[in-house]
Amino acid sequence: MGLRRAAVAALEGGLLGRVPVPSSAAAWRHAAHFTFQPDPAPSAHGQTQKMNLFQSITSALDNALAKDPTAVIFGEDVAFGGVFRCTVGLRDKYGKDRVFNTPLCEQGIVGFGIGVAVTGATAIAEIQFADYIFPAFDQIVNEAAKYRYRSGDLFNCGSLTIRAPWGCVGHGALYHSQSPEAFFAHCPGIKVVIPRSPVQAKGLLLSCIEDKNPCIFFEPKILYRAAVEQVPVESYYIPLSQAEVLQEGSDVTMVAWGTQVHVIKDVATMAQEKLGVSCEIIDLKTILPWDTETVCKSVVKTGRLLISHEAPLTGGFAAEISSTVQIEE
Amino acid sequence: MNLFQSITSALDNALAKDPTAVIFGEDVAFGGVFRCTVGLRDKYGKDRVFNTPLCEQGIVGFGIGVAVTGATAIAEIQFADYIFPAFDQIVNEAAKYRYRSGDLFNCGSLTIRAPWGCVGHGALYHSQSPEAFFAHCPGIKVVIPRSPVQAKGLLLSCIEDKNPCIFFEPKILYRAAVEQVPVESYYIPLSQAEVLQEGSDVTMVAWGTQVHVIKDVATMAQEKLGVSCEIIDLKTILPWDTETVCKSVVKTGRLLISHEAPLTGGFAAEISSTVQEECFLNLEAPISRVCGYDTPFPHIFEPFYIPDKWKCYDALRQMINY
Repeated sequence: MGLRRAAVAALEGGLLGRVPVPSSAAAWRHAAHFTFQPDPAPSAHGQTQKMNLFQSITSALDNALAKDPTAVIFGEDVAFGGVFRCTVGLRDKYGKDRVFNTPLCEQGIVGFGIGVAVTGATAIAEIQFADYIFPAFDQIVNEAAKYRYRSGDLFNCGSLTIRAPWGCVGHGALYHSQSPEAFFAHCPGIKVVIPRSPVQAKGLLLSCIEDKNPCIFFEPKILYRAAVEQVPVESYYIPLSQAEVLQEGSDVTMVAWGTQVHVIKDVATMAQEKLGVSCEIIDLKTILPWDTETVCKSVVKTGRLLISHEAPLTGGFAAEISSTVQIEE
Repeated sequence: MNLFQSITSALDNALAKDPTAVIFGEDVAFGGVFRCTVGLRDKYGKDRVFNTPLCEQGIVGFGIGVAVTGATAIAEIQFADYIFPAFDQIVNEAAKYRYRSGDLFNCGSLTIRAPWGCVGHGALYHSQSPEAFFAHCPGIKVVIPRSPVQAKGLLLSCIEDKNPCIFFEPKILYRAAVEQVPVESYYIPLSQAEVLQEGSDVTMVAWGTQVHVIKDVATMAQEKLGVSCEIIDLKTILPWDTETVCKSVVKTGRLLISHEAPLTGGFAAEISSTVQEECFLNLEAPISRVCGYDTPFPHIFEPFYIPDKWKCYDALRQMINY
């Protein structure tokens, strides 16, 4: 208790510069480098329930398996509920034929998932950490992404969705913190989606599962417990490839996705307070195919663009956004 | 020598000079599907030039192991399109080996060679240019030569380099490109781009086969538009020579980058965004990227897919008239 008071005092007293402190303790979710502020509860999708990110994922998967009798979930350790508890209760509810473990073999997880999807069933694969997705890289890039094209649309694996925990978590190090979205951005034929919050995650994941293309859905692991919102209990869909302007502004456009959206929200507050600068904040949401229109329209208005991601600079997705915006403007 | 002969010559020099050097991959023993290793097994023995199973993950994994013991590992991946099963080994193991051991261990003596790029009939799985995938991976080097003389010097530099290197060889040039090549070893430095032709109006950057395309474009531009082009062969994709490119753009104010790989997330994006940051006020026009489309590499549609000289010329014209 004393430690928290000291932390608040340090922050307010300018130890790290003035950082906004949420007004209510309920909104307090202060991780090392950002503050998660929940979005207001959506009113358009019926009754809501307090859920954190992993619970919103479970809810989405529950909805998906209830609605689609062909849907199956598989991956390492998903049967008991998963290392991040995203699949808790689903095996009991839907049976061992629909929620099952795989061997420790990412190439096999995705390869098997492609096969399931090609038969027409809905395959929801889990890769235990995005850092481990690379053994499946050939399956994703050379097989899944090209399946429809190479068969002249005779066959496809569009009902495949791959989920993976993503991004920094404070202690993850080299192999539990990676953000590999940029590797996949260079691969035509797949979609890559990254939510910033529980409400977003459920809606976007359900859209990925419905989407007729193989999708990769990265879940910011640092938000699994830290992000709590009121999330609709029923299914709802948030469209893919539509970026969202979270806050309108006139001087600078800032673009990010996943956890980093919350960082730039803090930056916008700092900029307003210290510099009197009005920032427009955009959550990109879908990395591939990305919403060039929303971003370009914003930059036409503000004339300045900042893009931020945890992934390394060289060849990161900010390069693609930067070079496209530069040409369009 | 043609390109594959210059590669053989480089490998011959490497195995002669370095008694720990070994060459391995699918079908390298008989000489390789592109004849790059012809004669080497006879000359150096079956312990030094040998086949592997059909398993790219294993080829690279084994190569990392060989390199960690201190021997020089020269791995061949039969086509760059097949490098993806080894992606985890390259990106999560080889690239991070030195860093994760605090420089106690490393696999710097690993070089991976692979035929690369369009060839007229390669289609989805024999035409890919995957350099951009690797550009996002700190810890490795990625090198692509434009000609036999360049290939031998750059390959020998990769083999000597103390970091794991990926060396892509433009397969369409294996027989088509013929030059007088030095018989002895020589080294062309990595991470140094080369200005092939000086110009004042537009900078054009490419690597591998595409360098020859932009050379044609420069000739067209001079004849039809009176425009003077500066041509840069990037050579090393990672780490790339930002200085040479930026210095050129400061002079010309216009930049066109071209590669066969798909546009989105391709390496032109990285060059474009870096140059734009460094040379923003020098730019007279937006930086142009002339690349493959965002689709798999097609079979019969290849002539429409590749960024040929007319597409590049058209983009250049639009930049001049901006």
